Amino acid sequence: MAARTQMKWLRRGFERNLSVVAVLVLWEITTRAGVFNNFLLPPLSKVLMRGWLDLLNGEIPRQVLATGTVTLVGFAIAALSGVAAGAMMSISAIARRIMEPLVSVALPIPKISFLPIFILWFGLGDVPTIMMIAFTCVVPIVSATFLGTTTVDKYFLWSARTLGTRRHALFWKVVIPAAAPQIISGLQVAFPLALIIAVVTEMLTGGDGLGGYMIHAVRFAQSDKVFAGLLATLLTGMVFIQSFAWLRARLLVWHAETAVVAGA
Amino acid sequence: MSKALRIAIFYLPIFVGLALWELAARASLLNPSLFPSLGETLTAFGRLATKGHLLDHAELSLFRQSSGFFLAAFFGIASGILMAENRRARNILEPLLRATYPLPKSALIPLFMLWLGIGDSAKVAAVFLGCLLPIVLTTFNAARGINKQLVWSAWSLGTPKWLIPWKVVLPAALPEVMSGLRIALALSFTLMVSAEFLIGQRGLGFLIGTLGEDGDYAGMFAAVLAVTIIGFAADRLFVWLNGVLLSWRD
Amino acid sequence: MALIDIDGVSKTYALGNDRELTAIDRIALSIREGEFVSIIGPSGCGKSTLLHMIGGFVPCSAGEIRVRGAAIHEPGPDRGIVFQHFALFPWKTVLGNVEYGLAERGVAKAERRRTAQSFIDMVKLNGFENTFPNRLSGGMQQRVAIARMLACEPSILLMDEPFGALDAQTRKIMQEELRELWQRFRKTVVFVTHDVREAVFLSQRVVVMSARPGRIKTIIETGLGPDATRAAIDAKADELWDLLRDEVVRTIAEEGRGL
Repeated sequence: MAARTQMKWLRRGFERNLSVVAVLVLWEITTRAGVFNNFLLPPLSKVLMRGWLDLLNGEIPRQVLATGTVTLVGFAIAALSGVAAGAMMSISAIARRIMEPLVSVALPIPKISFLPIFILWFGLGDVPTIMMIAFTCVVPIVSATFLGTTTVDKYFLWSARTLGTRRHALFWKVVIPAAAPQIISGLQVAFPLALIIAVVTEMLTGGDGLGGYMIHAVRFAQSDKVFAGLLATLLTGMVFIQSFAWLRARLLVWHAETAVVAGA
Repeated sequence: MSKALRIAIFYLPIFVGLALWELAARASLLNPSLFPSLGETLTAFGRLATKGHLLDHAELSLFRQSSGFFLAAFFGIASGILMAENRRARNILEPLLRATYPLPKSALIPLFMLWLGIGDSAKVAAVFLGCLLPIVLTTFNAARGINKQLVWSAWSLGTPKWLIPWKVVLPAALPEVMSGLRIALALSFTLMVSAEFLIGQRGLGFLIGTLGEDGDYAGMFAAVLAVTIIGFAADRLFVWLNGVLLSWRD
Repeated sequence: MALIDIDGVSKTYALGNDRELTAIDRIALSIREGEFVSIIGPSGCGKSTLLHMIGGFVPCSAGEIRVRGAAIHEPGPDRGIVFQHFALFPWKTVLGNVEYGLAERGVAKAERRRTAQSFIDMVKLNGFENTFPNRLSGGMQQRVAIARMLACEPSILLMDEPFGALDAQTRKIMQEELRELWQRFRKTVVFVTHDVREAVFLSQRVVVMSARPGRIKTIIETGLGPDATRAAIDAKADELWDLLRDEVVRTIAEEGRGL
């Protein structure tokens, strides 16, 4: 009986992802048949082989670890300082007065353009990468936190006051929990951004991580490595996003909601 | 109080920050080889604008960014609405979207370097494909979330089924679509700069890198300032356009 | 000959895992031309679904709905509809909304403007032609929806709990105005509501449905034609109110036990 339900589950998964499977199969067939230049688009099997080799010899795990680490560190810095700053903005009028225009300007600008300045100041290596990730991610997090904490339904606050919560306790007891969905949405939006910036920065500071892996592959004209790197990056991204969604569901188990970021 | 004055007061902390920058530089608090003063930066800006072809670089960058962005907007919105309205399109495209969504958009840049070399097309492709996915997803969600009775009303009033996506779904979904576009706009600048950093061949990203390598740090800061201004201005322009298109919302 | 023939109509939904939900089970009903029929019942009895099927938005799983003898599968200009939450196009002004159906028919600009204006005046919204819906109150929005529907001169008016989202005061006013409109134009109206008193006030026949699955439980003739006096309506409403209320209460109670 268990085997039958397993088969059904597998079949369902297959049907739902039919187009993905179709694309992968087509990839292999057309490249083997020579439809595409085998250098520009190596066959899927070759890419998987390269990926498998680099997995076994430790290169891919090393790069994943490198990228993953800087992403998490940079993101953690952004999350902690961003939520704190956003909360501060909602409590203190002065903090708000100073930070609001800064956030408003910082949000739309391409913060990656500051990377050469960070490299000038901090040299190459992990520090500018982490700084760049933190810098890019902190802005949307501050914005979401500020928005979430300042738009708490006043009826929540009034109810709490009536039920005995003192004014100064309102922030921790009501505002933060009520704003939590929006804060976590901000974090959820910033998280993929961290990975994007990590990969780009690695490509530019040239060296470690998945970004470095792919850029070196291009420079050394190893197209199968480029694709293997893409696949590894895709899977890393998938793991990150799934973990975050799982975390969100745990934290907001009380909140009836649908997926916040489109498609996730 | 006039609107211009109110805006100036809002951004006052930034002007104060700039002033502090200059003062700190003058007071020798900043290492001049690592951190040029505001004055030096502005002078370099003027120099680049008049003799350094700043405008040419900016124009090229903007061309790459806008081509990619508008292509992504056009195809993204069309696909998103198609997916929402047509079951078959959705069944084919949704799994592909979900599978490729976790890929960091910037990771495609090396691939485009491989395929398209070092010219403009690689950068436009990077911007286009990087922005396409988020736009498709937000449009798809927006189109799915509209009030179905709007569709039924139009249908009942004589609009043929094939015209409904254009006449009803798109206007109804527009507010949410525009929010997604605004985010994609910022992303397009990031991808453009990243691609120009990596691939070179003129443009503001290339300029920033080159000036840095040549040791012209004031110039580098000035070029960063130029990119920042353009990105900010584009966003403001978008907000204005948003207000015009959605004037019915008040 | 009946104008609308609902012939053994059922609606089932597939729930996955090879299960099915029967929303409506073999409904048969005939509606005469010029008649005002209300359909009432507890939530989940399928009254709105039935209305949507008459409108042609939702296909029948079994059976057929015929209008003037011809089976319907799609919305058409002969059947207009208004919804509980108005469904006005928020990006169009009042005039834009009311004109919409006329524009879809290819009516020339000047003429459709005039026609639309006359209906806007009829629902007492003149002066608001260039206002956007988000600035109007609920009652005003519903008037626009009604004008928009009437401008195309459909022979059948389908109304899906049209006053459900309005406050009690506005609801009363709208009921009276609707009755006046009906008396003036004598269109066929199929009116879905869960307000028993409203149903009695407005209709000549009240169809009571039971839920899970949706079936017709009783049909009651109010005997109140278009020429009925106010006093007669009030008296009849009081008389039938008790009768119908018992019916509906019993239906809900039965349903509760069945669950």
